[in-house]
Amino acid sequence: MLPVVIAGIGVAGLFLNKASSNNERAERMNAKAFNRMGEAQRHLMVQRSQTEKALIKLANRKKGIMASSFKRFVELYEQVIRIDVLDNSENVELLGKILESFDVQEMKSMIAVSGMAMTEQELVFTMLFSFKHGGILGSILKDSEINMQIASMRKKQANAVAMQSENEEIALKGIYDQAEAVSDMLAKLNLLFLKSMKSSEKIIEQYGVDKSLYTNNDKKLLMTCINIAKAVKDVVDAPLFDDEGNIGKQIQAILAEGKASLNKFNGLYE
Amino acid sequence: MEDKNNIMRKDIDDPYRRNLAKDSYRMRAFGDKRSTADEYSGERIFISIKKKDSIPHHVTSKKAQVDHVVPIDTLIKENAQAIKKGYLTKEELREIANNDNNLAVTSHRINESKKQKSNFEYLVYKMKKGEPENITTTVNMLAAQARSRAYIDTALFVKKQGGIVSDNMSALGSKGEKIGTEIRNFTDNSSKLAAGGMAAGVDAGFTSAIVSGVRNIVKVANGEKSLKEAGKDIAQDTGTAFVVGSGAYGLTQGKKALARATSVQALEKISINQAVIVATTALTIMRYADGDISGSEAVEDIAMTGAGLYIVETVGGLVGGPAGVIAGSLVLAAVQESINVCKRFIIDYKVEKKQRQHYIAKFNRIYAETESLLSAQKKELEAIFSEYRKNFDEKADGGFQKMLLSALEGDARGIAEGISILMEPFSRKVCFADEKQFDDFFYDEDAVLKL
Repeated sequence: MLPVVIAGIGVAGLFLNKASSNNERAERMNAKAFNRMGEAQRHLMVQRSQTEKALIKLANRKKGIMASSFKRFVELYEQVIRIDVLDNSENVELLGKILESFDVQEMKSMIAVSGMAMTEQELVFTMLFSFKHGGILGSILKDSEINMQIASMRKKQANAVAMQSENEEIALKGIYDQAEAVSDMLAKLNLLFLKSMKSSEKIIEQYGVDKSLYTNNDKKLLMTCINIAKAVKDVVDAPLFDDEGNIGKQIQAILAEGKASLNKFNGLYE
Repeated sequence: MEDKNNIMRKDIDDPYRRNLAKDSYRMRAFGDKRSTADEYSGERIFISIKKKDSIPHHVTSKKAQVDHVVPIDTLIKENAQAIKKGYLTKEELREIANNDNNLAVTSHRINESKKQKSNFEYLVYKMKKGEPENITTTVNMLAAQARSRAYIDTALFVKKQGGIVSDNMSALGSKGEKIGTEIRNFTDNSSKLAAGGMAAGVDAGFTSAIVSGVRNIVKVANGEKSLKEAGKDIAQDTGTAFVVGSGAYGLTQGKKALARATSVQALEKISINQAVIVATTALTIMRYADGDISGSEAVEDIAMTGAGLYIVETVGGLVGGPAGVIAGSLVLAAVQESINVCKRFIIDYKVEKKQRQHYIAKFNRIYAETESLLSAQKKELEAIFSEYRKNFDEKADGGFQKMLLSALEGDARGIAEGISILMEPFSRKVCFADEKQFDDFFYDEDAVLKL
């Protein structure tokens, strides 16, 4: 009997070694999966923060130009022409809402493999007490193999979540680049606007409302200044991308489709 | 006045033999060294020698203590009646309780936490507490319990029943003598066999299987079981043994076993030894169920490792005649239990495996679709932004360039063209494309510039 016990314990040792090895591999796999997802989410959060700053910068630039250069233009040019300024300031406020579709927290919730996951305590308890699986050690080995399978699935799911995060990062980077480009364009336009206003200011102050006094060259200066003013106002009022918002809708649709695909995993656990 | 049958802990415990004497278990474990390996955890533990200032050399948790593997309280509880009836004396129980086979040198941490629990109960307690012991400690503690229990059961049986066996064997005449010889042979052979695989110091002849076998023989001798009944059992068990040996029992005839075998409801009902057999047999059958090994390989595995080894050693090779088979029948009962559990395990395992495979296949399908979609979307998003940016930058660069060059030439129309280019990505147009448009507006007193 005793040699059998010893032999059994020897075999049990092999069981435990294999189970332990499986569990260690599963742990490493889990760690890698979470790292991959964590890294992708970290990048996404950094990009989100940068994009947010770029949008705030753009919004502030728009408000600044409207409150200074554009206001000055209206006050000056109302001396010679009738001007009706339409209030499209809601477009400026809308910039802040662009980020609402990029919910980093939501991404985090997608990783739960709740249907199969066992806590460490549950796993250990199952190992030693589950007779359903044919005894102590067989159960350890079996559970360690299941652990491996769970780890492998978690790795894949983490990869999918990371891919979606990366796609969102691309979208956020695209928005960031565009916000920076529009900011840059507004800064350049404002510079030309100020120069143009400075030139026309002297003429308007000199001739006032008597339009017959304005030479062709004077009128060219006024025309250019008004054209720039209109361009500035158009850029301020325009959505970040195209006027119809097609690109924005297209991006939103792509990301929503990606999220819906990820949600199919959650359907598995219900 | 003290009741002589009232057993106190101090009657059974022997601290002197355990801890204090020069040749105590603890002193022998340390020899001339200050540290030794914990028999349970394998970690270094230290002899408790204090410095002059009474500060221990080592932290208390690593101080060595000698544990009764099967606790004193358990032994008292189990044997109180036997002592009361005079089958066993307190001194005999004290001798058994403090035998090396029931002692283990371990750390203060484990010993204080274990208290009067068996090793198995202690492991369960730690598990439930959320502080499970590691695998090394678990295996060592279970093995220690199996060894101690085998020794104690056997020693107690011999003490309690030895005389009765001899008497009854004599009453059976030549048959009794024959059975007695077989018992002795069985014991001797088991001792020799065990000696090869066991650590020195453990009385290998004392095994619970033998005790059980002897118990059955005593039943025959006492008239509780006739030889005919024993013979019937023999035939049945021999048949069973044959089927087990051929590998067909557990794998194809499991229903019969299922009907007869005792169902296992809780871990506490299975001995450590049985659990080991269950585990080893289960692995083999699981591998067979998985298709990792063939039926004949499964049989070979069973024969070489778990239940088969047990049967071959105890029933097949060593013991002839009814005594061996009766003893073996108990072994087979354990095997039957194992196979019963394994059979149910196979069913559960196959169902679970099928469900899991289905689930994993579904998961993999979703993953493949998702991965493919997300990869395609990545390319699409990159293309959208790349194209948009390219167009935007071209218009911005071209527009500003045109404006600046036109400004240098005093060309208002050119500047307007530049602005027009600049506004293309926004789908907006320049306000006045040329001087005529401006003049029309400028001189119209009713015209309003809408911005």
